Amino acid sequence: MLQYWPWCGIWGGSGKAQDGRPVHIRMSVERRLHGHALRMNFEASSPDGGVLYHGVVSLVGVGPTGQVRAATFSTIHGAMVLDQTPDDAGVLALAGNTLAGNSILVTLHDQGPGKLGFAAQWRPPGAKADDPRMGRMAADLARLVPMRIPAGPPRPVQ
Amino acid sequence: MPRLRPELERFRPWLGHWRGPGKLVGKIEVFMEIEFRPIFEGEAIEVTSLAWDAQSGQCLGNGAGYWTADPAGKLAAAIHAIGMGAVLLREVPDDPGGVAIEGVMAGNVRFTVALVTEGETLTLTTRRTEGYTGNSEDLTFAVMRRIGPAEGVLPGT
Repeated sequence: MLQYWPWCGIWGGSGKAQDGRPVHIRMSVERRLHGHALRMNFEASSPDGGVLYHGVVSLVGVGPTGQVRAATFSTIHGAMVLDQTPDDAGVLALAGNTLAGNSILVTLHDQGPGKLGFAAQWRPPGAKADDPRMGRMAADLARLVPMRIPAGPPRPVQ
Repeated sequence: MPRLRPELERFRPWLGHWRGPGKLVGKIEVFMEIEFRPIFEGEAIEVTSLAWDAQSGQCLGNGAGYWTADPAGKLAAAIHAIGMGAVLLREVPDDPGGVAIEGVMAGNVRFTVALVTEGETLTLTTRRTEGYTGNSEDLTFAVMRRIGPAEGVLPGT
């Protein structure tokens, strides 16, 4: 889990859904449970921010068996627990099934300082890879940093 | 008044902070706090819990989870707690006024949470049951009261 601590912060970006629809992404990552878990809050909305296409909140942490798991709620898929799947360093890949039987795969990958790649897909039971019912979303995220307000004119010395 | 999805309306009286004394594994005296907070416009309720030794202040239990409805309208909760990891809990039959959720963790251990409200009192019990032997152990028992604004106690209130 330690490799993911540097992801704490607020991330934003834009991407596309499976139908080509543009989406605006906001994601926040913070330490929770005395540093035993990361809380990831993910929101995919219309570009103007007015419609929430998909909201996800997840607590990613290590269980007693050493397995990284994510207790997750999705506004589309409901409550679920996702398991980390083996992947390269700098990648967090989570997979699992929803209560409705859809399979879910989510990946976040480090793309260098201040950049994260996000991809997710869900597949209904029995659907093949080209099934139009499949959902996909991908986006490039950048860390949001406070804007530097330009300094004003020098103040007169009192 | 915050929106809640219809299946979660029955938990509206639970929203807010609750705090009170309790015991862990039947002998360790603690204080417990639980907060129920709607998220995503009431599509789920985020539930966080904390248990600490009242004398030393040491944290002896800390967890959080997301309550929502399964496709059948029953409560489903994805939770994560220190020492326990993540588990999906599903609603099982319980007395009116209460709710019980349970799920299976690693090692074939069944974890059960039961919550009952009576007026401004919330009682929490948790239990773990070994799947192979059937031996069970009470983990948590706590009786909490709602923490609300104290009107008229301090000047200006």
